[in-house]
Amino acid sequence: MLANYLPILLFLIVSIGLGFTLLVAGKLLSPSKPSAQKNSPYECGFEAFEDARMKFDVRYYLVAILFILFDLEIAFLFPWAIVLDDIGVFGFLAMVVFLLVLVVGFIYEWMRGALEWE
Amino acid sequence: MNPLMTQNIRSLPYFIPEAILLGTLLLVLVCDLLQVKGKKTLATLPVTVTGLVACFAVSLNFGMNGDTASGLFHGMITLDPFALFFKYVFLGSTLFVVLMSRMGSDIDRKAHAEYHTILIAITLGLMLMAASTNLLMVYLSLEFVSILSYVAAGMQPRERRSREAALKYVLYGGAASAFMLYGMSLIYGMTGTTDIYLIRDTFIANSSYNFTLLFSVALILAGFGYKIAAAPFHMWAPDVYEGSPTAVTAFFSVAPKAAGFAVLIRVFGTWFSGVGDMGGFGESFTHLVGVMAIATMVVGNFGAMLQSNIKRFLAYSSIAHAGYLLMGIAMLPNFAEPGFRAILLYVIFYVFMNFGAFFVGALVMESTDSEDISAFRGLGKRNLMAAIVMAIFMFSLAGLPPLAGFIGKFYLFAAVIQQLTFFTLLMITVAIITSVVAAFYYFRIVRAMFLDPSTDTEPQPTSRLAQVMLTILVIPTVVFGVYWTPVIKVVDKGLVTHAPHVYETQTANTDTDQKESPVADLKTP
Amino acid sequence: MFRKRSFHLLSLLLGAIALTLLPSTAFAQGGADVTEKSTLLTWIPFLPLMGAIVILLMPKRLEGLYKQVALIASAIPLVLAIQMALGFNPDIVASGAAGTAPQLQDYTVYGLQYVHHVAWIPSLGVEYFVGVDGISVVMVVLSTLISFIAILASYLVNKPVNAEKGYLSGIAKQQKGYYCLILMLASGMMGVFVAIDLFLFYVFWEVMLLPMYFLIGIWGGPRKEYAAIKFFLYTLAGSLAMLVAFIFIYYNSAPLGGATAFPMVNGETTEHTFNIMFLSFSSTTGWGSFFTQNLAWILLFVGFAIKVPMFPFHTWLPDAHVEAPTPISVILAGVLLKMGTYGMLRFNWQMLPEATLHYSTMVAVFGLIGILWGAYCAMAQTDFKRLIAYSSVSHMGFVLLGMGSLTSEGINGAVFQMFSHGLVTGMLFLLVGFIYDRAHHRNLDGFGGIAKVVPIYTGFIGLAFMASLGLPGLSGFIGEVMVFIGAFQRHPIITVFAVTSVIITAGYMLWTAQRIFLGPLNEKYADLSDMNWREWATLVPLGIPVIVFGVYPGPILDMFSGALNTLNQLVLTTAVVN
Repeated sequence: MLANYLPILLFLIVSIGLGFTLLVAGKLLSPSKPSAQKNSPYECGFEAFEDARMKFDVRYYLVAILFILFDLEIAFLFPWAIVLDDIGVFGFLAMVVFLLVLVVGFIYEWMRGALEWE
Repeated sequence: MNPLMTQNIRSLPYFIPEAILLGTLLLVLVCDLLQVKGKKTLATLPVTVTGLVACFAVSLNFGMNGDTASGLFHGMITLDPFALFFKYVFLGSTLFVVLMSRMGSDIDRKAHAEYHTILIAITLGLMLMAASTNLLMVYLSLEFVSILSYVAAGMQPRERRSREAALKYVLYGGAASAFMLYGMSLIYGMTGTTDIYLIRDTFIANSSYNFTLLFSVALILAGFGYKIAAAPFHMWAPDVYEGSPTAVTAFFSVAPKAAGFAVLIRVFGTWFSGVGDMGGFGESFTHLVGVMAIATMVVGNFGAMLQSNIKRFLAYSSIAHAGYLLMGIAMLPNFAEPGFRAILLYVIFYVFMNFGAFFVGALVMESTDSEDISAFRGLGKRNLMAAIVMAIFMFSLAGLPPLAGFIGKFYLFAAVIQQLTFFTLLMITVAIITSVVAAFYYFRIVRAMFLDPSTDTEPQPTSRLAQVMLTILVIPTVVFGVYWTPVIKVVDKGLVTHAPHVYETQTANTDTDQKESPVADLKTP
Repeated sequence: MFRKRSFHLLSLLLGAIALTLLPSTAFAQGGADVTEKSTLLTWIPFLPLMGAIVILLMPKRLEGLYKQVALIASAIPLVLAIQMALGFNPDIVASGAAGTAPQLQDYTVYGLQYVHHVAWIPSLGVEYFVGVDGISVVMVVLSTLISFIAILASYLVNKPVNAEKGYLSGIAKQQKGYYCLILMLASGMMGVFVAIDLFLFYVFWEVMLLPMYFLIGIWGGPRKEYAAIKFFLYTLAGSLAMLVAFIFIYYNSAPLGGATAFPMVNGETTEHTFNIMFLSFSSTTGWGSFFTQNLAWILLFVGFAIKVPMFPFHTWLPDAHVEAPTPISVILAGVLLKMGTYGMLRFNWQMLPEATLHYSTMVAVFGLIGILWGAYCAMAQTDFKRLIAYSSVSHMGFVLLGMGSLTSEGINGAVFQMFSHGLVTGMLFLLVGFIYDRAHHRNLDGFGGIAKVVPIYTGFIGLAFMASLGLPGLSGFIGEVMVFIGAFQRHPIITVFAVTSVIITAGYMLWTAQRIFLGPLNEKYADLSDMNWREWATLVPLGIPVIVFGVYPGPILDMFSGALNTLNQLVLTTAVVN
């Protein structure tokens, strides 16, 4: 059983070895002449406006989480749609229940104002 | 119809308790929503209580009729007496906690509906945990419970400590889950399946009790150990317990812990009990879990000795109890049944005495507005009945006869002593020494209540509902200490687990078979 | 005034009714024959518990009746115990029971009388099983007597503050709690001596712990909290070791004599048993592997030695005694210490004879250390109560020495010493309590010449001191001399050293008497009041047996000598049975 993992092990060894070799080779062989221009962050060609470590509004996270939730829901819907013929009415009803749960949650967050920006 | 689907359909009747919980959950949300919009509607508390009681009744009905089935939903979950036993425990705990938080004021009244929703959902997750027979399902239900627990811990968003508790819980929980998932993936790699019964069969067929297995078992233990707050995965517990609302803390210290042990027994009990010597693997397993048990007992008991905050104190005490219970798991390769029986018995007793301790603690914290152990000072004068009841819970937790806690401890010790090796002797020695330490710190509360001088002697009566709840908790604590045959009967019934029989036939069923006996292939002969 | 008198009348009436009715009902069920089953031994430990519940339920306005109820609840067991002892047949001993198949038809094979045996938790093999044999009958009488005296003595300390006479009001507070707890304590210790089931024994043993903790911790002296928790933790550590040994013995039990399982009283059988008599005579426990038996023996011995208390574990005793109120000290010294040595006889000697034979010299040596250490420490004390506490350590050493001698005289002397020490030390602690009530201190150097002021008190203390140091004609002498005779046959050198303690004991006792009672009168105590009738009442029941059994020890010795000689033979001839 474990022997099946041998190729993976070899792959790991080779990839780690290769990466390491290339990095070391680059460090040793390439010329290194740093300057202020070269070290500054690249932002589509212009000067950087401000520090990148700024505070994000917490509401972004709320939106992001809600997005992920419904995004995943869609991800479930695709395979379900493809096999709908096979799984029949029961499969259809199962998805209806699943969506119902989500829809109730969605209505709840909507009514409680989670989607209002202000 | 597709046979895959028929199997699912035929599994549904056994899923009614969970379905009821799901319905209740949605109903509570809708009620709350209408309330927010200013419409007259059902209050959420009765809905929650009704839902939980209905779920309990249906589960009890399954248990009474012996109506059990395994291999539900393609072997994902099972409905065996073992799962039912834990379902009773979870539902009872949730019911109690819902009522308990009604009395406290630390959760915003406006947020009670959300809080109930979360509790019901956690209960649903716990019930799935106890019923899972597939590693995937184990992981999913465990995460389900964890994520909701993070929210429950943060139920007081304005409290700094509550936020801290939620965050710490998330961080530790995430790390533990990662370990567990890694362990599970290794097992999957070794066996090619996630079904715990098939995994057991593969182990036996290949006799693959080697170091890799031990390593993955250790990783999985990290995940389960985190749920039961066993050392060295206990670090989150004191902070989370301190920060969470008191009722939630009481819930955390009982229900997820019980679920953790349910999963431990289900998974490791299936894999390693009754398969023989396993070429030294059994001993390694005993040592692995045993060392964890010893560490947990030491950390929990000595930790509790140093606490001055009531909730942290109870948190460490619950860690300590997990340590005693782990001894039962450690004995699994050779003497599985006595250990399991002791654990199940202890869980029942623990529910009563630990909720009792938390309940009186909550009353005291509420009335004195202090979380320090000194808040108990003079309780013997302020409210004698509450003090006596608390003393009984403390004695029971310390394991003194003739109280329930002693019986639990007795069965656990007996399970360990049954096989006498150097290691079990070491475990039992640590258990004894830490039990004495435990008596010392539980007596700190008793001493504060009765012995220490106090200036505040104004009577603080408890409400009628609180009196009723305390009575419900204290009577079993005393009565089961003297006569526990009924409990043993329940436990013995609950020790039965069902392994689904032949898997292949489930997909090859014909319609004629089903007509004759609709659930024939779901039941264990 | 009228109300108070009516209380007394009511209580007397209640007591009279109870005293006449209960013994007859208890015996009615069992019939006249002591070998038949009877509920008598259930009444003895549970009556105090019932008294405690009654007190708990009594309303506050009946406060004056608490002590009467407590007294009745402890008097009835005393009457029952005396009746039981009078009806006890000392000829029924367990001789010849060793190695036979376990059976429940005839309890006399195991030397048991007044058996009450019902099912409790059949799935675990736990039964409610009480009975007495020669070893425990005297202890049951002693424990009921001491409980009664202790509750009577609680009356004394229980007066409201009386500034002129200077009585303390120690127990006057929270009377309800006090009498409930002391009755629970009494219940626990009576139960310990009648339990014939390991599990039941353990429950009774532990039940006694909690009341003791509170009685010292709430009603004790200045350092009561320290003393209470110290007592509690020491004893708990011991009893947990004991619990492990019990479970261990349980799993190692297998029936002898061709039987395949142990019978239970409900008709079922059990693979392993908690029945002490089966474990002693009809099970392989005592003859298990060397490791098994030794481990169990040592765990049990440590558990009981803490209670005795034996030399390295004795430090809780002086603290507990000094802080405890007088009645509790009486119970502690009079009964609780004996539970340790009783446990050793019942468990180590009877159930694990082979290991006992192996360790007997060690027991004797620990006895010797206790005797000398206790005596030397007592000599150095200035606190009267502490001195008595250390003398207890010394006197319990004699018990260990006698048991370790493995001779008939030695073991009989040991049990006699247990009985005698219970009476004598009870008197001593009462007497210390009386003078503390009057003078509010116990410093030996703070008195002087008070024999002239309190002659009756001096007389009683003289009696107690003489009995304690082993003056011939008093009960202390009988025990000590039998122990010496027995021990000399087996451990002559140890005995020679032990005998020197007699001189030390006499030394500190007489020196104490001299410091308190003789010499020039300390003017502070010129108007000390002498004993009142209540104090007489507590001392006389203890003093009379001390004199009577000191002159004529026969009746007491007859009670247990048969059983003890059998036990001693069992230990000495284990190899034969094996």
